[in-house]
Amino acid sequence: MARFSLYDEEFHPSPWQQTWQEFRASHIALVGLFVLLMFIIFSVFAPWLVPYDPLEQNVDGLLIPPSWQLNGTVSHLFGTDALGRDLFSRIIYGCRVTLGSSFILVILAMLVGVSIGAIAGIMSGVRSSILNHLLDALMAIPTLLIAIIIVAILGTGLVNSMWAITLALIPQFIHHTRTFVRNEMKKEYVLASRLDGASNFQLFFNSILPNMIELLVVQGTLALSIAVLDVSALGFLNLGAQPPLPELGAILADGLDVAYIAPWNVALPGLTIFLMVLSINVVGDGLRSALRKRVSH
Amino acid sequence: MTDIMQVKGLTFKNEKKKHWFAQPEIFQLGPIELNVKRGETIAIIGENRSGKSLLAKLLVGAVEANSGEIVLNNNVYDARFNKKASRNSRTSDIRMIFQHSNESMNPALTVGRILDEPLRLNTGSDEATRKAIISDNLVKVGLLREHYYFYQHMLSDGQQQRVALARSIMLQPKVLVADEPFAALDPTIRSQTVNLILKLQQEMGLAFVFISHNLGIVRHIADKLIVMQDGNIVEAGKTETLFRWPQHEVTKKLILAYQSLVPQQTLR
Repeated sequence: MARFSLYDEEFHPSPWQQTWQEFRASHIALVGLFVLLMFIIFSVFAPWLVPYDPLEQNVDGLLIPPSWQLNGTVSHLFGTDALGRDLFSRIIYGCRVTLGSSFILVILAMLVGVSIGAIAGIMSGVRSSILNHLLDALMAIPTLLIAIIIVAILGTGLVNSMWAITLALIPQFIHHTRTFVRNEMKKEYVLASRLDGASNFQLFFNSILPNMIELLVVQGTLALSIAVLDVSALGFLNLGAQPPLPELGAILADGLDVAYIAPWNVALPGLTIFLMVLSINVVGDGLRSALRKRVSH
Repeated sequence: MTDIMQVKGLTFKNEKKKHWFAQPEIFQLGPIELNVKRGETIAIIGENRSGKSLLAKLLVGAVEANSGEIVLNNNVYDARFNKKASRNSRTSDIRMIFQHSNESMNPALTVGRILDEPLRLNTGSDEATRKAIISDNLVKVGLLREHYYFYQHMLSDGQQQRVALARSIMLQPKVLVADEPFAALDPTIRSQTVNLILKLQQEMGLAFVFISHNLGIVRHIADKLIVMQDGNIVEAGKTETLFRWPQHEVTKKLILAYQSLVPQQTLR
């Protein structure tokens, strides 16, 4: 049956449309969203966007300055590094590696954290408490230290550093999910669904999860900004992604060797990391205030 | 007229200790004996903390009782054990309407999905059939078919109450239990809802058990009256008998309070 709106002169937005309207009202958040979208487009379509292979070395064009300087060329937009690799291509691929791996590890941490948190929220008593505080020990140690320990055991590499950051991100998802599920379980609509004959599993997926998506989005953006910073920090320290792999932190560390004669090799990757984290935080903040306004209206 | 529901020896004890040293707060409900006939309306009245809401929750199985038996539509349920198998058939025989309809609706789901839930979990019918049943029931409670796509925040209190009603009659129950269904509504919407329930009761042969503080409505629609105090039924009987010749002290107090509010001429 098609929606029939003869009497329906008032526009009734769904909760998601309402959130989008509140979000759109904040210009800063909208700009942040556009910047983030640009980074996402760069990461997804990197192979079609780059002018050069990011690993291709060119002995004839070492340390060419960026195109806006007097002796730069337009064929290398951001110039080249000490091995003659095109910096623009490397940064675009760097967005792909850094943002992509951060996305993957946030989703992984979210899946594990939300499932443990949901079980802990539905159960009660000591069992719930044990599940809740299962990974709390990880919160006592900074992410970088955990990563260094894991890397010391398993060896360096992007994947090992991703495991470390995932482990460090899980506890906050567990805590938030558990608190939320506990609060919702007390509400009458959950009792009503229970009287409909829903099991705990169905209760969580059909009644509580639709209400929880907002919380997940906000927590996810916060976790994403932490993940981007940590992935590039480990790359910078040579513990994460290894040099030939174009990862923003690793590119930054490479550029540090020639920082005095070619400052753009440090400034441009650093600026990219800064913009990426800033846009993620601005979007997360905008989402949070949009959701708060939506609830208070 | 046959009994559609018989409650035998339903008891509930609250013995939870809040602190190690604090005196445990003991509240005992029952034993309750109750017979409900087909198409009958029973009102439960009483002071606050007399166990009215708890009784309603025990009847539908939202709270587990300590002992007792409920015979419902020739099925015997042990009120103590809330097994999954018995709960499902109980779900389709006895349904509950909550006091605050806006809290009993999930804010993230459309009305259609809320109403779909009891059908999806309790009947094996496919989506098209379910949708037809839902729009039938929406019309039955006086809403439009388009309300299928509405969210909770788009509906007024009265409409939300209607949705709650639609949800409770979705499975063609035999008994409807309501916990102060009219408390939050203004007089106009209240009388509309009362009339709607009376109409549905006639159409479907529902037995209706409800809790109310509004003795005007109670006198208007209830066939039988139950007065509760401290977890026990202190008086039960025909509404008119109880209103004219109250025996127990609590009943006398409640009825006197009601009559002092109503001008004497309107009393027959």
